[in-house]
Amino acid sequence: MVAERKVDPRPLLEVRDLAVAYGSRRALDGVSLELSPGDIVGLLGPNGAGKSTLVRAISGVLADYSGQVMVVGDELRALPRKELARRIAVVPQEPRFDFPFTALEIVLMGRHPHLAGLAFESARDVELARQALTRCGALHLASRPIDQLSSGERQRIVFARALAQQAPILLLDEPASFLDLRFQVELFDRVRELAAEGCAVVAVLHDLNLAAEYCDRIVLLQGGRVVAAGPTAEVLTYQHLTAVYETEIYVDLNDITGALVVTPLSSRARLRLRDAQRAKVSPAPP
Amino acid sequence: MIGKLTALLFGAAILTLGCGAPRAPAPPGGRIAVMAPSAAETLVELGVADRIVAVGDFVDWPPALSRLPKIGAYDAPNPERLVELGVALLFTTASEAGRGEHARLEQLGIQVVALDTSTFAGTLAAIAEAGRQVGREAAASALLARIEARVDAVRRRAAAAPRRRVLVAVGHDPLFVAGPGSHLDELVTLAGGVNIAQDARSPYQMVALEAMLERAPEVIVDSADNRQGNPRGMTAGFWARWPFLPAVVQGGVAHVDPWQLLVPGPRLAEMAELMGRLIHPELFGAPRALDFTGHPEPAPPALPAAAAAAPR
Amino acid sequence: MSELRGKARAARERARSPLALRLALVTLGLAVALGVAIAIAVSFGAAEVPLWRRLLGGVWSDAQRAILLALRLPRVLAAAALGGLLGVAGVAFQALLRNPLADPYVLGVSGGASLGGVIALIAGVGGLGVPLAAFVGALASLVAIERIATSDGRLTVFTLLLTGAIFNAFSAALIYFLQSVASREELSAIVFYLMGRVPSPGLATLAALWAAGIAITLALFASARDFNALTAGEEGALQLGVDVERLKRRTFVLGSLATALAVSAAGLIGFVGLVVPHLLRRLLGPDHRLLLPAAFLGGASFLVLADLAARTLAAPTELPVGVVTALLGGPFFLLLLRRRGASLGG
Repeated sequence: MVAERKVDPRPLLEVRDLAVAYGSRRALDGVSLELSPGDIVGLLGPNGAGKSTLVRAISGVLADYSGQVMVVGDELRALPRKELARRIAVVPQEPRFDFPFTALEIVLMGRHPHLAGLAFESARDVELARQALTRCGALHLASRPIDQLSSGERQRIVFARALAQQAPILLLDEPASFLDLRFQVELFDRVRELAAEGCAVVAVLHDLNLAAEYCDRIVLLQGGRVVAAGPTAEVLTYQHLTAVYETEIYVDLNDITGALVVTPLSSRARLRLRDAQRAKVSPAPP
Repeated sequence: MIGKLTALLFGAAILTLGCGAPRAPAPPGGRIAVMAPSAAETLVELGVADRIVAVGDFVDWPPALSRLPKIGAYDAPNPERLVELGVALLFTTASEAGRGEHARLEQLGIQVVALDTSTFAGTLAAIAEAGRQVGREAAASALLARIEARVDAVRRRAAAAPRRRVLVAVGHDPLFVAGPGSHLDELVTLAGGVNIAQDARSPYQMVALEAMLERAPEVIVDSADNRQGNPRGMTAGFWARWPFLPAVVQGGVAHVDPWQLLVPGPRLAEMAELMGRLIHPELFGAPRALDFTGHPEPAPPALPAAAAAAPR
Repeated sequence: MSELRGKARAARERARSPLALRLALVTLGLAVALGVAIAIAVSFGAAEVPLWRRLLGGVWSDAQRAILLALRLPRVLAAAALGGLLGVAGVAFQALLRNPLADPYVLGVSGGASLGGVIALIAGVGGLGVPLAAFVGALASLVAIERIATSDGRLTVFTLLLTGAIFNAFSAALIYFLQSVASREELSAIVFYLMGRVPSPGLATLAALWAAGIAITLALFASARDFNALTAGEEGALQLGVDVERLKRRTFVLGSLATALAVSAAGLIGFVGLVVPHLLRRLLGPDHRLLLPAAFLGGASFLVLADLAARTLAAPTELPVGVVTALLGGPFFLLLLRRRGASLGG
């Protein structure tokens, strides 16, 4: 969807020492991360770790933060809203709609940052919206009112809306939680394509296996702090995950697919594992 | 020296007696409270003013009543005050809403007489009923006879005259008129006019201004209590906006204080004669200055006896 | 079920024709409808004025000319402007509160306006004094409510609703109190004022109402696409580039201004601001670029026709127009509510 590939070596998104407080509670503390074109970064952590807060801070929803957020080279606070929306597109966790717009009209709203003042959407805008829908396998839903679609279909629509925004940075907040497995795979295949075209993607995920498969890098949060950040295999380890999620999580490598397999262990599984591998508990890195 | 002392003692005694004694001796007939101005005038006319101890908020005529305590609006007298003042007989307006309250007052030992003066006939009946309730049937009959005689005189004098189209306005914005059934409507008819609001559905009704304009009234009696610079007298006033109206062209617009026409009581005869002067001045004579104004102000209270007796 | 099919069909229609074209067609169509409504309304009334026969040759009597030009025409045109103001105010508040059940009186400005008007009536101020006092009351409420509902520079919609409800309740209580101490004439004037009545204003007032109606509609139209984006929630709209705080404030002020003008001039005419936007949304879809001009023109036509009924059904007396709109709007709205149970939105 994004036409040109970014040749600029500067990172698209730079977060330095970001701190956000809700009253006396520190939701984020000293968080730093960097995003370059082509990156797919997974944002992981238990509930309350600050993942959604980080997304909201980066997308300009939170006015109150300390630290620096540079979006395509400009400080977030200095950017007018519309310009920010041209650089960052957000796919929210639970889309809600108060009025029954059609799917196409919703996707067209993704063109809002590109339209000035009283301008109406042009034919090109409509075409871009339709392409976005097609890319999400949802073109057949174009003229359906949004309140008649299932939550999975709605999730695809808001994803298409983010695509229509044509922003170089994509923030996904649990974009696949309601999707059938088939559509989960399709959505993340799309994400991979977008990254290949030069986008940078941050995805908040609960599904550790999805993260393992699709993300190049992981940022693991706990209590508002970055516990570990780096290439996927380095972060998704037994030690890190068990400490952060506070339950035993076994990480293995599937020889055939080459994918990391993350398995939270039930008590029965733990016993079996103890029996089977007394010495070796961490998997060898791939 | 002895003279002054005597005078002082005498004055002090009078003062004490004057303050301590009740305003009127306890009457055999029981104390009266009256809510509506029309009933109040009737009762005073029947000669029982000394029995009245409380009046409604809007009663300020005749002068005998103007300084009595006011205890509520038309049909909402304050029960506590009624009991406190020892009221035995309450004259109030007939209203559906008040019936429950009336029953309660009856339980408290207060006899409630509800008078309906919304029609001409009702007004006459109310006078008779009031007379019966206060034991002055003879006075009531005499009053009614006087009223009916004068009203008949008006009716006879106007009988042969051409019917003039009359509009009686009692409120502006929205326009309220006197419709069929009201005493005003009856007065218009007997004074030689025809009420152009005949098709209204109640004695006092809101109507569309344009409907009244279309009917080209020749005489307009405007008793609306307009606040902003109330005009009084034979002047076009509010109706000057419509110069094509026969009433405006012929100088037949009268702005009359509501007191003159809107208190249906003992003054019905005067009202009929006034209506005659407004509708057919050629038969009844031109309207007089006092025809338009409100009631005269009550005279200032008499000085207490002590001040009169004190040495200068 | 047919409800769903109907909506789907309407949605497919929208998918085909471009917005600008639909906007032009809708505006033109509703403008024509308004013209027809005005023509009909001017022809009828409590008095018999054979408008068209006279126009096509013939003379009017002085009475007929006066009735037409000084009473009926100004009143019909005022009804149009007032209906338009209430219609767009309804759309604005439904967009601001993100709820198709909101009406212009829910945010408390109408309470302040009616209280101001009632105080003026009790004080005996006549003529223009009443609408002026009402407008002052409305402005005072507007400022107060906006201040109260703003914390940390943000206007919270929930607090706005609550504050508005409290203002309305408070004003109503004060009005009841004033009614209890009013004289009979004052009471009657108050009751009729509160019931809502379209006035026959002078040229200056009429021009002001129309100018305000058109100006407010255009000002809201400038934010129409932002209203659409607001459907995604406040955060979603922020992320799409909408300055949500500024939008909320602007919408509240413009909507309240329109409501204040309408209530000051005509008292509490209900249901126009609720039913007209709702009905148009079902017919035209939720895009505010269509809804706003349509609500102005549609609201205008609705009130013109409702006032016509108020003036003619019970001649020579008049029904209060607020009664007519309630009698028409009430059952209609209940019907809408029942059908709304079948689908989530709209």
